[in-house]
Amino acid sequence: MRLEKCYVCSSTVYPGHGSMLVRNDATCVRFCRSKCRKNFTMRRNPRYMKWTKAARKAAGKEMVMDSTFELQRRRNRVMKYDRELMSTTLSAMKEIEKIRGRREKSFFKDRMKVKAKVDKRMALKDLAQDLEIAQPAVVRERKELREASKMRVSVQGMEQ
Amino acid sequence: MPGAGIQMMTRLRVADNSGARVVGVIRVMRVRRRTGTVGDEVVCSIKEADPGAKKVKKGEVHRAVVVRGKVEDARRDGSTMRCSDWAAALLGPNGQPIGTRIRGVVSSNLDRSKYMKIMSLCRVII
Repeated sequence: MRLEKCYVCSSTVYPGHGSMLVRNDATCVRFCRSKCRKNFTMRRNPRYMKWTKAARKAAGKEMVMDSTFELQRRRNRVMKYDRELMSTTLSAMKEIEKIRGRREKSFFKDRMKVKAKVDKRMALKDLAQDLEIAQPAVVRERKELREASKMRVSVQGMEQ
Repeated sequence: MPGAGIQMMTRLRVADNSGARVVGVIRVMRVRRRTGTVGDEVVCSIKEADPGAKKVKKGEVHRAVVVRGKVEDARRDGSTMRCSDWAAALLGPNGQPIGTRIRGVVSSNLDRSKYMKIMSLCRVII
């Protein structure tokens, strides 16, 4: 049993899910769901659709180079079944998954470091330019009311 | 998405090396559905053949079995599979294939007891 990757979004295709397109030279293109298949038939490039793994990687949003990816690779060699090897592989898989998770977290943190600065700069800019909008609605309403009453008073004064 | 399966007048590419290139379906055999699909046997006439073909000639009527199709085919595990064209392999009067080779892939949905020879001739069963 193999967990294949979707051709479009690179998510895992579990057994019994998705569909497969077979070309006449027996190359298989697998899709995890109809959304991916439809986008493929519309000849869209996965790199140009923001929700795919390929696009995220191209935009530098995902960890691309890592030694843990080297270990997760398709191997077409047939291995003789060995119980010990099997158990060590399974435990290693869990361990590698943990390490990968940790690295991905730190990668995300690194990527988000800039974000706080950018957010702050944008907020300051907004404050400088549009202070009115930044004020809460209640304050704005009160101010408007005050101005309206002033207007009324001045109008009354003129009449008298 | 391609439409339903095959019926009278459908053209099929020939996947074997019998010499025929294209066949036109005359009748889909033993099918209660409206149309035939992968694994069904059809009666067909040869519409195009290789110029030097010896085994078959243009205009002849033969039986053939549909080996792959564009329509999505459910597999045993619930996922689906489809190929990039509709193709058939010609059968002789004894039910055995006329050609000695099958080009391209063959669906695993073929009846193994009937078409074992075709399954063994093809390069890939998918």
